[in-house]
Amino acid sequence: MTNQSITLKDLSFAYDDIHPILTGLSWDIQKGHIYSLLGKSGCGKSTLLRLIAGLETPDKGSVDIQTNTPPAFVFQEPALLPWASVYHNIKLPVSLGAASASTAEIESYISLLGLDGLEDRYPAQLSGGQKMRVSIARALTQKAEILLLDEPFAALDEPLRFELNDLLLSLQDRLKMTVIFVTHSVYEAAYLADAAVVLNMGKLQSILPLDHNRSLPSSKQRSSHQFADNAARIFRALEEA
Amino acid sequence: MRKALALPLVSILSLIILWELSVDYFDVPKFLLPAPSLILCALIDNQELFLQSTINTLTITISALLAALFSGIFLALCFSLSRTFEAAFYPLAVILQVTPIVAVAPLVLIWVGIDNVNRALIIIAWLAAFFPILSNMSAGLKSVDRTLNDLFKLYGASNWQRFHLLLWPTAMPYLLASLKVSGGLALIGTVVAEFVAGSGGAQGLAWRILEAGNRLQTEKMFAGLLLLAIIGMIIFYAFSLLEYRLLKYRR
Repeated sequence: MTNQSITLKDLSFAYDDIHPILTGLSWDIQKGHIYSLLGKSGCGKSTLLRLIAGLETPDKGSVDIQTNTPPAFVFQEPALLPWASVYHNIKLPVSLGAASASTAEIESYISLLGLDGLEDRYPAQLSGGQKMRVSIARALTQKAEILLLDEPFAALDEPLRFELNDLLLSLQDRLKMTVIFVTHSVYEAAYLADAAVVLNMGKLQSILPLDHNRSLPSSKQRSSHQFADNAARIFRALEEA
Repeated sequence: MRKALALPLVSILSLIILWELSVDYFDVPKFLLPAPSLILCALIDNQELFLQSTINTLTITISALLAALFSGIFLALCFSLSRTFEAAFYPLAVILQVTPIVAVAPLVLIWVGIDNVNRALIIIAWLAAFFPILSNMSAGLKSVDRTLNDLFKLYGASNWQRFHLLLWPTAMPYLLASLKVSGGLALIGTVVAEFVAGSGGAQGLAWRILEAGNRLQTEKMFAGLLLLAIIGMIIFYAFSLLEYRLLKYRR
């Protein structure tokens, strides 16, 4: 039984003939880890996520997903159907035949994301944080082993970001998913990721394994030397990019 | 909500009272401006005639609006499926829209109205009403959120699922907004068509107004006008109510 969940081999991609986005990128993604993708704007972070999700087709190379379920995707915007209730938004993958989850299971995801009592509300009646929780709950309904997140918390204020960061950690701890998330925040990557992956010129520049003491409360973790060291290493890698 | 209803009612009632008193006070001849009470009397005295005419006008208006609704949606769907089809036929729809309906109406009457005037009236009213539905529905179908599109692609949605769970609800606010405009335009189209048809078989409210005008029965003209205004208001508020109900999720 392999410990890899995704293998990217010699991946190349361009939206046009002039600007290549990815140029021969290879990466073995390990099961059950949290990876943060970092790099300058336009370096191909979101494109890489879209290629893994199957939303784009590589010009060259291959994306080999070694899990039983296709990856779930959380976009930068919550991407909710405005005319559907919270419950029906979360149920969307089931309604479209992309997943099979019972009513009890959907209700359990609603509880897990702290959305109890909001099931009948429409997205316009929710706060930014609640909308993002619905978006994550919808992704969980797929029961995917891989969760891809494209700057999911970028539009949220700091306390809410911290709260959702912790939520993501507890979900990963519980569901043991492989998580790959794109972020512009070095501190978010330093706190969340098991490894920070820096992209440069369409290739992987470095993969930095990060240390954490998850037994500490989140505020202590964020003020620990380990956290500062993680952030400093990511900053250095980005400077070299 | 009560205030929203009470305010226009009070202003309309005040205007009617002022009108009634002014006509009496200044001794205005009734063929120039009849008092509201006289208009009401004309309406009551000729209630059967007006009822029949109202039914005729309403039938033509609703038929034209339904035709505009189905043809507008159908064409918009064709446009969304094929850019070539859109490029070929959208200019034709624009030509139909920008050509004054009064100028087209006599031709339509000659072509299809000699043996059945109502058919011509419906076509003329349809010409007036269908373009806002077509253009709004086209815009609505094109305004689908890109991320939601990606989401449906990710979930492997079929074309039918994409249509009825994403495209149709996205276009719904556009369609409902166009119905409020097209409802009024269908009524205007019907009135124009009845005027152009003249005594050639048209029995609607516009013809009653024309007939009363020829006889200088101004109170009957006002009675017809009042009924047309009421029909227009009912159509507009019916669609506003439908919009309010169907787009509850926006609030």
